[in-house]
Amino acid sequence: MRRVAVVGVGHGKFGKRKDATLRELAYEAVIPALEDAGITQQDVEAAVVAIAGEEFAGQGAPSALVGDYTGIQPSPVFRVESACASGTAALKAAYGMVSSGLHDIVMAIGVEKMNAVSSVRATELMARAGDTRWEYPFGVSFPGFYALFATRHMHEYGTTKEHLAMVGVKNHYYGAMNPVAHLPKEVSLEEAVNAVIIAWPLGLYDCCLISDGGAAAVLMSEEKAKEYTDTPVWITGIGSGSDTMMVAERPSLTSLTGVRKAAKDAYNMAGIGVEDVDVAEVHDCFTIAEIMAYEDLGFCKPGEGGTFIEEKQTYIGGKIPVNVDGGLKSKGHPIGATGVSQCYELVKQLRGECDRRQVDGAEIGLSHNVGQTGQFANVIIYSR
Amino acid sequence: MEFGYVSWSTNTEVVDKWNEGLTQGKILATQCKNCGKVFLPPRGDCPCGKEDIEWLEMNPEATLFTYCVIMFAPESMSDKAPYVVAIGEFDNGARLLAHLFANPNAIEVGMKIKLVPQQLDKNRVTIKYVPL
Repeated sequence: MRRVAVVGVGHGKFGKRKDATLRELAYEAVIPALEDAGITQQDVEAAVVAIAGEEFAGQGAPSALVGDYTGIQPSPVFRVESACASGTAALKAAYGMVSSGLHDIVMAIGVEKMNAVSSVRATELMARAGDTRWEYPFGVSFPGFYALFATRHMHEYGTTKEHLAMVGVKNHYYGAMNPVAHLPKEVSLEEAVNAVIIAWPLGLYDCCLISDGGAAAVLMSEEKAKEYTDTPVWITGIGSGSDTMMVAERPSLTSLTGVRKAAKDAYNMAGIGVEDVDVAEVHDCFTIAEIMAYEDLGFCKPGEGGTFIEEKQTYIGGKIPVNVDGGLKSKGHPIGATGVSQCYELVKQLRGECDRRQVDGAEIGLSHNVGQTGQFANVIIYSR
Repeated sequence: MEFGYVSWSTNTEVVDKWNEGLTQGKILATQCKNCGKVFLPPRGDCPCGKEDIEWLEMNPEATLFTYCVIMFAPESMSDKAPYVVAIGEFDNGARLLAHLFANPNAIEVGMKIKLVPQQLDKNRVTIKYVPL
Protein backbone atom coordinates (compact mmCIF):
# COMPACT_ATOMS: atom_id res chain seq x y z
CA MET A 1 0.00 0.00 0.00
CA ARG A 2 1.12 3.54 -0.75
CA ARG A 3 1.34 6.21 1.96
CA VAL A 4 -1.55 8.69 1.92
CA ALA A 5 -1.55 12.29 3.13
CA VAL A 6 -4.25 14.84 3.82
CA VAL A 7 -3.10 17.91 1.90
CA GLY A 8 -6.13 20.20 2.10
CA VAL A 9 -9.11 20.63 4.42
CA GLY A 10 -12.20 22.83 4.36
CA HIS A 11 -15.02 23.45 6.82
CA GLY A 12 -18.29 25.34 6.61
CA LYS A 13 -20.12 27.03 9.45
CA PHE A 14 -22.10 24.48 11.47
CA GLY A 15 -25.50 25.54 12.72
CA LYS A 16 -29.19 25.86 12.03
CA ARG A 17 -28.54 27.12 8.51
CA LYS A 18 -31.73 28.61 7.12
CA ASP A 19 -29.59 30.21 4.40
CA ALA A 20 -28.20 26.97 2.99
CA THR A 21 -29.35 23.62 1.66
CA LEU A 22 -27.31 20.49 0.98
CA ARG A 23 -25.62 21.94 -2.12
CA GLU A 24 -24.46 25.20 -0.52
CA LEU A 25 -23.27 23.38 2.60
CA ALA A 26 -21.12 21.09 0.44
CA TYR A 27 -19.81 24.01 -1.61
CA GLU A 28 -18.62 26.00 1.39
CA ALA A 29 -16.53 23.02 2.56
CA VAL A 30 -15.20 21.83 -0.81
CA ILE A 31 -13.94 25.15 -2.21
CA PRO A 32 -11.79 26.01 0.85
CA ALA A 33 -10.41 22.44 0.86
CA LEU A 34 -9.34 22.77 -2.79
CA GLU A 35 -7.75 26.18 -2.07
CA ASP A 36 -6.00 24.78 1.00
CA ALA A 37 -4.55 21.95 -1.12
CA GLY A 38 -3.61 24.34 -3.93
CA ILE A 39 -5.56 22.44 -6.56
CA THR A 40 -8.70 22.89 -8.65
CA GLN A 41 -11.61 20.58 -9.31
CA GLN A 42 -9.89 19.37 -12.49
CA ASP A 43 -7.18 17.75 -10.33
CA VAL A 44 -9.70 15.74 -8.31
CA GLU A 45 -9.89 12.24 -9.76
CA ALA A 46 -12.79 11.08 -7.59
CA ALA A 47 -14.84 12.11 -4.55
CA VAL A 48 -16.51 10.05 -1.85
CA VAL A 49 -19.49 11.75 -0.26
CA ALA A 50 -20.78 10.97 3.24
CA ILE A 51 -24.45 11.73 3.77
CA ALA A 52 -26.19 9.68 6.44
CA GLY A 53 -29.84 10.18 5.52
CA GLU A 54 -31.33 11.43 2.30
CA GLU A 55 -34.66 11.81 4.10
CA PHE A 56 -33.26 14.73 6.11
CA ALA A 57 -32.43 16.76 3.02
CA GLY A 58 -35.26 15.41 0.88
CA GLN A 59 -32.89 14.76 -2.02
CA GLY A 60 -32.47 11.35 -3.61
CA ALA A 61 -29.02 10.42 -4.96
CA PRO A 62 -27.55 13.37 -3.01
CA SER A 63 -23.89 12.71 -3.85
CA ALA A 64 -24.63 13.47 -7.52
CA LEU A 65 -25.88 16.90 -6.50
CA VAL A 66 -22.78 17.47 -4.37
CA GLY A 67 -20.45 16.48 -7.22
CA ASP A 68 -22.25 18.72 -9.69
CA TYR A 69 -22.69 21.83 -7.52
CA THR A 70 -19.09 21.82 -6.28
CA GLY A 71 -17.73 21.49 -9.83
CA ILE A 72 -16.15 18.06 -9.40
CA GLN A 73 -18.31 16.67 -12.21
CA PRO A 74 -17.35 14.92 -14.59
CA SER A 75 -14.98 13.16 -12.17
CA PRO A 76 -16.84 10.33 -10.43
CA VAL A 77 -18.62 10.62 -7.09
CA PHE A 78 -20.34 8.07 -4.92
CA ARG A 79 -21.94 8.06 -1.52
CA VAL A 80 -21.13 6.02 1.57
CA GLU A 81 -23.36 5.57 4.58
CA SER A 82 -22.44 4.36 8.05
CA ALA A 83 -24.93 6.47 10.04
CA CYS A 84 -23.00 8.99 12.19
CA ALA A 85 -19.70 7.35 11.19
CA SER A 86 -20.30 8.07 7.49
CA GLY A 87 -17.63 10.81 7.43
CA THR A 88 -14.81 8.49 8.43
CA ALA A 89 -16.21 5.83 6.10
CA ALA A 90 -15.73 8.34 3.25
CA LEU A 91 -12.17 9.02 4.41
CA LYS A 92 -11.51 5.29 4.60
CA ALA A 93 -12.84 4.71 1.09
CA ALA A 94 -10.81 7.64 -0.24
CA TYR A 95 -7.72 6.32 1.56
CA GLY A 96 -8.20 2.92 -0.05
CA MET A 97 -8.52 4.40 -3.52
CA VAL A 98 -5.29 6.35 -3.13
CA SER A 99 -3.22 3.77 -1.23
CA SER A 100 -4.14 1.08 -3.75
CA GLY A 101 -2.90 3.19 -6.64
CA LEU A 102 -6.32 3.45 -8.28
CA HIS A 103 -6.18 7.26 -7.96
CA ASP A 104 -3.65 9.89 -6.85
CA ILE A 105 -6.01 12.65 -5.65
CA VAL A 106 -9.38 11.88 -4.04
CA MET A 107 -11.69 14.04 -1.94
CA ALA A 108 -13.73 12.96 1.07
CA ILE A 109 -16.75 15.20 1.54
CA GLY A 110 -19.14 15.01 4.50
CA VAL A 111 -22.36 16.99 4.54
CA GLU A 112 -25.79 16.90 6.15
CA LYS A 113 -28.82 19.16 6.05
CA MET A 114 -30.79 18.16 9.13
CA ASN A 115 -32.90 21.21 9.90
CA ALA A 116 -35.04 20.95 6.78
CA VAL A 117 -37.28 18.83 9.03
CA SER A 118 -38.58 19.56 12.56
CA SER A 119 -36.60 18.31 15.56
CA VAL A 120 -39.34 15.81 16.43
CA ARG A 121 -39.16 14.51 12.83
CA ALA A 122 -35.35 14.37 12.99
CA THR A 123 -35.67 12.39 16.24
CA GLU A 124 -38.00 10.01 14.42
CA LEU A 125 -35.65 9.52 11.47
CA MET A 126 -32.71 8.84 13.77
CA ALA A 127 -34.76 6.42 15.90
CA ARG A 128 -35.36 4.34 12.78
CA ALA A 129 -31.66 3.55 12.78
CA GLY A 130 -32.51 1.29 15.72
CA ASP A 131 -33.76 -2.25 14.96
CA THR A 132 -37.11 -1.44 13.35
CA ARG A 133 -38.69 -4.76 14.22
CA TRP A 134 -37.76 -5.15 17.87
CA GLU A 135 -36.50 -1.90 19.44
CA TYR A 136 -37.84 1.01 17.38
CA PRO A 137 -41.48 0.04 18.22
CA PHE A 138 -40.80 1.14 21.81
CA GLY A 139 -39.98 4.69 20.78
CA VAL A 140 -36.33 4.61 21.80
CA SER A 141 -34.88 7.92 20.70
CA PHE A 142 -31.15 8.22 20.07
CA PRO A 143 -30.64 9.97 23.41
CA GLY A 144 -32.70 7.12 24.87
CA PHE A 145 -30.21 4.45 23.80
CA TYR A 146 -27.30 6.42 25.23
CA ALA A 147 -29.33 7.06 28.39
CA LEU A 148 -29.54 3.25 28.76
CA PHE A 149 -25.72 3.15 28.58
CA ALA A 150 -25.46 6.03 31.08
CA THR A 151 -27.74 4.40 33.66
CA ARG A 152 -25.74 1.19 33.45
CA HIS A 153 -22.40 3.03 33.67
CA MET A 154 -23.65 4.85 36.77
CA HIS A 155 -24.77 1.55 38.28
CA GLU A 156 -21.56 -0.37 37.57
CA TYR A 157 -18.99 2.35 38.26
CA GLY A 158 -20.65 5.08 40.32
CA THR A 159 -20.42 7.61 37.50
CA THR A 160 -22.56 10.64 38.34
CA LYS A 161 -24.74 13.10 36.47
CA GLU A 162 -22.11 15.73 37.38
CA HIS A 163 -19.44 13.67 35.60
CA LEU A 164 -21.58 13.66 32.48
CA ALA A 165 -22.18 17.40 32.76
CA MET A 166 -18.43 18.06 33.09
CA VAL A 167 -17.93 16.68 29.57
CA GLY A 168 -20.48 19.14 28.21
CA VAL A 169 -18.91 22.01 30.14
CA LYS A 170 -15.47 21.20 28.68
CA ASN A 171 -16.72 20.89 25.12
CA HIS A 172 -18.64 24.16 25.34
CA TYR A 173 -15.57 25.84 26.84
CA TYR A 174 -13.55 24.99 23.73
CA GLY A 175 -16.46 25.35 21.31
CA ALA A 176 -16.81 28.98 22.42
CA MET A 177 -13.38 29.56 20.83
CA ASN A 178 -14.25 27.83 17.54
CA PRO A 179 -15.57 30.12 14.78
CA VAL A 180 -17.31 27.26 12.92
CA ALA A 181 -19.16 25.98 16.01
CA HIS A 182 -22.95 25.71 16.04
CA LEU A 183 -23.31 26.84 19.67
CA PRO A 184 -20.12 28.74 20.55
CA LYS A 185 -20.94 29.61 24.15
CA GLU A 186 -19.73 28.50 27.55
CA VAL A 187 -22.03 26.62 29.90
CA SER A 188 -21.66 26.34 33.70
CA LEU A 189 -21.72 23.03 35.54
CA GLU A 190 -24.84 24.15 37.36
CA GLU A 191 -26.67 24.97 34.13
CA ALA A 192 -25.62 21.65 32.58
CA VAL A 193 -26.66 19.52 35.57
CA ASN A 194 -30.02 21.23 35.95
CA ALA A 195 -30.96 21.42 32.28
CA VAL A 196 -34.25 20.06 30.99
CA ILE A 197 -34.25 16.26 30.69
CA ILE A 198 -34.33 14.75 27.20
CA ALA A 199 -34.02 11.09 28.20
CA TRP A 200 -33.23 10.53 31.86
CA PRO A 201 -30.45 10.66 32.98
CA LEU A 202 -29.41 12.76 29.96
CA GLY A 203 -30.33 16.43 29.91
CA LEU A 204 -30.11 19.07 27.20
CA TYR A 205 -26.38 19.68 27.71
CA ASP A 206 -25.65 15.96 27.55
CA CYS A 207 -26.96 15.77 23.98
CA CYS A 208 -25.35 16.90 20.75
CA LEU A 209 -26.99 19.43 18.49
CA ILE A 210 -29.04 18.83 15.36
CA SER A 211 -26.88 20.75 12.90
CA ASP A 212 -26.46 21.58 9.24
CA GLY A 213 -22.97 21.75 7.79
CA GLY A 214 -20.20 20.30 5.70
CA ALA A 215 -16.49 19.46 5.81
CA ALA A 216 -14.08 18.26 3.14
CA ALA A 217 -10.57 16.83 2.83
CA VAL A 218 -8.20 16.30 -0.09
CA LEU A 219 -6.18 13.07 0.08
CA MET A 220 -3.09 12.48 -2.05
CA SER A 221 -0.49 9.82 -2.68
CA GLU A 222 2.97 10.55 -1.22
CA GLU A 223 4.35 11.48 -4.60
CA LYS A 224 1.55 13.98 -5.35
CA ALA A 225 1.55 15.37 -1.80
CA LYS A 226 5.20 16.34 -2.17
CA GLU A 227 4.32 18.37 -5.25
CA TYR A 228 1.70 20.41 -3.43
CA THR A 229 2.73 20.83 0.22
CA ASP A 230 5.54 20.95 2.78
CA THR A 231 3.15 20.14 5.59
CA PRO A 232 1.39 16.88 4.73
CA VAL A 233 -0.58 15.15 7.46
CA TRP A 234 -0.31 11.39 7.06
CA ILE A 235 -3.04 8.87 7.68
CA THR A 236 -1.01 6.22 9.46
CA GLY A 237 -3.70 4.00 10.95
CA ILE A 238 -7.30 3.04 10.27
CA GLY A 239 -9.29 0.55 12.33
CA SER A 240 -12.97 -0.29 12.16
CA GLY A 241 -15.51 -2.44 13.94
CA SER A 242 -19.22 -3.10 14.32
CA ASP A 243 -21.75 -4.21 16.91
CA THR A 244 -25.14 -5.90 17.24
CA MET A 245 -28.21 -4.19 15.80
CA MET A 246 -30.19 -4.78 18.97
CA VAL A 247 -28.63 -2.95 21.87
CA ALA A 248 -30.27 -5.16 24.51
CA GLU A 249 -28.37 -8.30 23.52
CA ARG A 250 -24.85 -6.90 23.91
CA PRO A 251 -22.69 -8.48 26.62
CA SER A 252 -21.78 -5.03 27.99
CA LEU A 253 -23.68 -1.74 27.89
CA THR A 254 -20.79 0.31 29.24
CA SER A 255 -18.35 -0.33 26.40
CA LEU A 256 -18.59 -0.58 22.61
CA THR A 257 -17.07 -3.78 21.22
CA GLY A 258 -16.60 -2.31 17.75
CA VAL A 259 -14.73 0.70 19.09
CA ARG A 260 -12.33 -1.50 21.07
CA LYS A 261 -11.59 -3.51 17.94
CA ALA A 262 -11.24 -0.35 15.82
CA ALA A 263 -8.83 1.24 18.31
CA LYS A 264 -6.67 -1.86 18.60
CA ASP A 265 -6.41 -2.22 14.83
CA ALA A 266 -5.70 1.50 14.30
CA TYR A 267 -2.96 1.60 16.96
CA ASN A 268 -1.39 -1.54 15.48
CA MET A 269 -1.47 -0.25 11.92
CA ALA A 270 0.08 3.07 12.99
CA GLY A 271 2.62 1.26 15.16
CA ILE A 272 1.84 3.44 18.15
CA GLY A 273 0.36 3.09 21.64
CA VAL A 274 -2.30 5.22 23.26
CA GLU A 275 0.43 7.10 25.15
CA ASP A 276 1.68 8.49 21.83
CA VAL A 277 -1.58 10.31 21.03
CA ASP A 278 -1.25 14.08 21.56
CA VAL A 279 -4.78 15.21 20.73
CA ALA A 280 -8.04 13.35 20.14
CA GLU A 281 -11.37 13.97 18.49
CA VAL A 282 -13.98 11.62 19.95
CA HIS A 283 -17.60 11.06 19.05
CA ASP A 284 -19.41 12.83 21.91
CA CYS A 285 -22.92 12.52 20.48
CA PHE A 286 -23.82 12.31 24.17
CA THR A 287 -21.65 13.06 27.19
CA ILE A 288 -21.73 9.40 28.24
CA ALA A 289 -20.37 8.52 24.78
CA GLU A 290 -17.25 10.61 25.45
CA ILE A 291 -16.75 8.94 28.84
CA MET A 292 -17.11 5.50 27.21
CA ALA A 293 -14.68 6.60 24.48
CA TYR A 294 -12.00 7.48 27.08
CA GLU A 295 -12.27 3.93 28.35
CA ASP A 296 -12.63 2.08 25.04
CA LEU A 297 -9.71 3.95 23.46
CA GLY A 298 -7.52 3.22 26.48
CA PHE A 299 -7.14 6.83 27.68
CA CYS A 300 -8.12 5.53 31.12
CA LYS A 301 -9.22 2.22 32.64
CA PRO A 302 -12.79 0.90 32.32
CA GLY A 303 -15.02 2.67 34.83
CA GLU A 304 -12.63 5.58 35.39
CA GLY A 305 -14.01 7.87 32.69
CA GLY A 306 -15.96 9.95 35.19
CA THR A 307 -12.92 10.60 37.37
CA PHE A 308 -10.83 11.28 34.26
CA ILE A 309 -12.99 14.26 33.27
CA GLU A 310 -13.34 15.37 36.90
CA GLU A 311 -9.53 15.62 37.02
CA LYS A 312 -9.65 17.64 33.78
CA GLN A 313 -7.33 15.14 32.09
CA THR A 314 -8.95 15.84 28.73
CA TYR A 315 -8.45 19.61 28.84
CA ILE A 316 -5.37 21.16 27.18
CA GLY A 317 -2.64 20.62 29.76
CA GLY A 318 -4.15 17.31 30.91
CA LYS A 319 -3.05 13.82 29.89
CA ILE A 320 -4.81 13.91 26.53
CA PRO A 321 -6.79 16.88 25.21
CA VAL A 322 -10.12 15.72 23.75
CA ASN A 323 -12.55 17.64 21.53
CA VAL A 324 -10.81 20.98 21.85
CA ASP A 325 -12.88 22.13 18.85
CA GLY A 326 -16.07 21.83 20.93
CA GLY A 327 -16.96 18.30 19.86
CA LEU A 328 -20.36 17.28 18.59
CA LYS A 329 -21.81 18.93 21.67
CA SER A 330 -20.85 22.54 20.96
CA LYS A 331 -19.40 22.49 17.44
CA GLY A 332 -22.41 20.51 16.27
CA HIS A 333 -23.18 17.22 14.56
CA PRO A 334 -24.30 17.36 10.93
CA ILE A 335 -24.22 13.57 10.80
CA GLY A 336 -22.36 12.87 7.55
CA ALA A 337 -19.95 15.77 8.09
CA THR A 338 -18.71 14.82 11.55
CA GLY A 339 -15.96 12.32 10.69
CA VAL A 340 -14.53 14.71 8.08
CA SER A 341 -14.84 17.62 10.52
CA GLN A 342 -12.71 15.61 12.97
CA CYS A 343 -10.13 15.21 10.19
CA TYR A 344 -10.23 18.99 9.59
CA GLU A 345 -9.55 19.76 13.26
CA LEU A 346 -6.73 17.22 13.59
CA VAL A 347 -5.02 18.41 10.40
CA LYS A 348 -5.19 21.99 11.73
CA GLN A 349 -3.88 20.85 15.13
CA LEU A 350 -0.97 18.92 13.63
CA ARG A 351 -0.11 21.91 11.45
CA GLY A 352 -0.26 24.18 14.51
CA GLU A 353 -3.04 26.41 13.14
CA CYS A 354 -5.56 26.35 16.02
CA ASP A 355 -4.74 29.61 17.85
CA ARG A 356 -6.11 29.61 21.40
CA ARG A 357 -7.20 26.00 21.11
CA GLN A 358 -3.80 24.77 19.90
CA VAL A 359 -2.30 21.72 21.63
CA ASP A 360 1.36 22.71 21.61
CA GLY A 361 3.64 20.47 19.59
CA ALA A 362 0.91 18.00 18.65
CA GLU A 363 2.34 15.34 16.34
CA ILE A 364 -0.17 12.51 16.50
CA GLY A 365 -3.95 12.89 16.46
CA LEU A 366 -6.72 10.33 16.90
CA SER A 367 -10.22 10.49 15.44
CA HIS A 368 -12.98 8.28 16.89
CA ASN A 369 -16.24 8.28 14.94
CA VAL A 370 -19.19 6.10 15.94
CA GLY A 371 -22.34 5.35 13.98
CA GLN A 372 -25.75 4.58 15.52
CA THR A 373 -25.14 3.11 18.96
CA GLY A 374 -21.84 1.47 18.06
CA GLN A 375 -22.93 -0.52 14.99
CA PHE A 376 -20.30 1.43 13.06
CA ALA A 377 -16.94 2.44 14.53
CA ASN A 378 -13.92 3.97 12.83
CA VAL A 379 -10.68 5.10 14.47
CA ILE A 380 -8.19 7.01 12.33
CA ILE A 381 -4.66 8.00 13.36
CA TYR A 382 -3.16 11.12 11.81
CA SER A 383 0.52 11.94 12.01
CA ARG A 384 2.65 14.95 11.12
CA MET B 1 -51.67 -9.02 14.24
CA GLU B 2 -49.06 -6.25 14.41
CA PHE B 3 -46.33 -6.00 17.04
CA GLY B 4 -45.51 -2.86 19.01
CA TYR B 5 -46.95 0.62 19.44
CA VAL B 6 -45.64 1.56 16.02
CA SER B 7 -44.24 -0.72 13.37
CA TRP B 8 -42.34 -0.32 10.21
CA SER B 9 -41.36 -3.79 9.18
CA THR B 10 -43.62 -6.41 7.63
CA ASN B 11 -44.59 -9.61 9.42
CA THR B 12 -42.83 -12.87 8.74
CA GLU B 13 -43.70 -16.33 9.99
CA VAL B 14 -41.48 -15.72 13.01
CA VAL B 15 -43.23 -12.47 13.93
CA ASP B 16 -46.66 -14.08 13.45
CA LYS B 17 -45.74 -16.95 15.76
CA TRP B 18 -44.32 -14.53 18.37
CA ASN B 19 -47.52 -12.43 18.19
CA GLU B 20 -49.68 -15.55 18.47
CA GLY B 21 -47.75 -16.52 21.61
CA LEU B 22 -48.37 -13.09 23.09
CA THR B 23 -52.12 -13.31 22.49
CA GLN B 24 -52.03 -16.59 24.44
CA GLY B 25 -50.12 -14.93 27.30
CA LYS B 26 -46.77 -16.54 26.42
CA ILE B 27 -43.31 -15.06 25.79
CA LEU B 28 -41.69 -17.24 23.13
CA ALA B 29 -38.06 -17.51 22.13
CA THR B 30 -36.24 -19.65 19.60
CA GLN B 31 -33.22 -21.86 20.08
CA CYS B 32 -30.80 -23.26 17.54
CA LYS B 33 -30.77 -27.07 17.77
CA ASN B 34 -27.28 -27.13 16.30
CA CYS B 35 -25.36 -24.64 18.46
CA GLY B 36 -27.80 -24.16 21.33
CA LYS B 37 -28.01 -20.39 21.10
CA VAL B 38 -31.23 -18.86 22.46
CA PHE B 39 -32.83 -15.93 20.64
CA LEU B 40 -35.09 -13.49 22.44
CA PRO B 41 -36.74 -11.88 20.55
CA PRO B 42 -36.98 -14.93 18.28
CA ARG B 43 -34.93 -15.31 15.11
CA GLY B 44 -35.79 -17.74 12.38
CA ASP B 45 -32.17 -18.07 11.26
CA CYS B 46 -29.12 -18.80 13.37
CA PRO B 47 -25.82 -17.22 12.25
CA CYS B 48 -24.28 -20.72 12.48
CA GLY B 49 -26.17 -21.40 9.23
CA LYS B 50 -27.78 -24.75 10.10
CA GLU B 51 -31.37 -23.47 9.98
CA ASP B 52 -32.62 -25.86 12.64
CA ILE B 53 -34.66 -23.75 15.03
CA GLU B 54 -37.07 -24.77 17.78
CA TRP B 55 -39.45 -22.66 19.85
CA LEU B 56 -39.48 -22.47 23.62
CA GLU B 57 -41.48 -20.60 26.23
CA MET B 58 -39.56 -18.15 28.44
CA ASN B 59 -39.84 -17.74 32.17
CA PRO B 60 -41.12 -14.11 32.10
CA GLU B 61 -39.38 -13.04 35.33
CA ALA B 62 -36.36 -10.81 34.84
CA THR B 63 -33.97 -8.44 36.58
CA LEU B 64 -33.80 -4.79 35.51
CA PHE B 65 -30.45 -4.36 33.73
CA THR B 66 -30.82 -0.69 32.79
CA TYR B 67 -33.48 1.91 32.00
CA CYS B 68 -34.13 5.45 30.84
CA VAL B 69 -37.07 7.83 30.84
CA ILE B 70 -37.92 9.25 27.42
CA MET B 71 -39.19 12.82 27.82
CA PHE B 72 -38.73 13.92 24.20
CA ALA B 73 -39.95 11.14 21.92
CA PRO B 74 -39.66 10.36 18.22
CA GLU B 75 -42.57 11.76 16.19
CA SER B 76 -44.42 8.44 16.02
CA MET B 77 -44.47 8.15 19.84
CA SER B 78 -44.85 11.82 20.80
CA ASP B 79 -48.32 11.40 22.29
CA LYS B 80 -47.07 8.66 24.64
CA ALA B 81 -44.14 10.48 26.31
CA PRO B 82 -42.97 10.37 28.97
CA TYR B 83 -42.37 6.62 29.16
CA VAL B 84 -39.77 4.33 30.69
CA VAL B 85 -37.67 2.15 28.38
CA ALA B 86 -36.06 -0.79 30.15
CA ILE B 87 -33.83 -3.75 29.41
CA GLY B 88 -34.54 -6.85 31.47
CA GLU B 89 -32.21 -9.82 31.91
CA PHE B 90 -33.79 -13.28 32.09
CA ASP B 91 -32.69 -16.40 33.97
CA ASN B 92 -31.20 -17.91 30.79
CA GLY B 93 -29.12 -14.78 30.16
CA ALA B 94 -31.30 -13.38 27.37
CA ARG B 95 -32.09 -9.67 27.42
CA LEU B 96 -34.97 -7.75 25.90
CA LEU B 97 -36.01 -4.12 25.56
CA ALA B 98 -39.56 -2.97 26.38
CA HIS B 99 -41.41 -0.29 28.31
CA LEU B 100 -41.51 -0.58 32.11
CA PHE B 101 -44.75 0.48 33.71
CA ALA B 102 -43.62 1.84 37.07
CA ASN B 103 -43.18 5.14 38.85
CA PRO B 104 -39.76 6.43 37.68
CA ASN B 105 -38.89 7.42 41.26
CA ALA B 106 -39.34 3.83 42.40
CA ILE B 107 -37.16 2.25 39.71
CA GLU B 108 -33.76 0.79 40.55
CA VAL B 109 -31.33 -1.23 38.46
CA GLY B 110 -31.41 -4.78 39.82
CA MET B 111 -35.10 -4.77 40.80
CA LYS B 112 -37.24 -7.78 39.92
CA ILE B 113 -39.60 -7.29 37.01
CA LYS B 114 -41.84 -9.43 34.84
CA LEU B 115 -42.49 -9.31 31.11
CA VAL B 116 -46.17 -9.51 30.18
CA PRO B 117 -48.04 -9.31 26.87
CA GLN B 118 -50.35 -6.34 26.37
CA GLN B 119 -53.11 -6.22 23.78
CA LEU B 120 -53.21 -2.62 22.50
CA ASP B 121 -56.24 -3.03 20.25
CA LYS B 122 -57.87 -5.75 18.15
CA ASN B 123 -54.95 -5.93 15.72
CA ARG B 124 -52.00 -4.82 17.77
CA VAL B 125 -50.10 -6.47 20.61
CA THR B 126 -46.96 -5.54 22.53
CA ILE B 127 -45.04 -6.48 25.63
CA LYS B 128 -44.30 -4.53 28.80
CA TYR B 129 -42.41 -4.99 32.03
CA VAL B 130 -44.15 -4.56 35.36
CA PRO B 131 -42.51 -4.63 38.83
CA LEU B 132 -42.76 -7.98 40.62
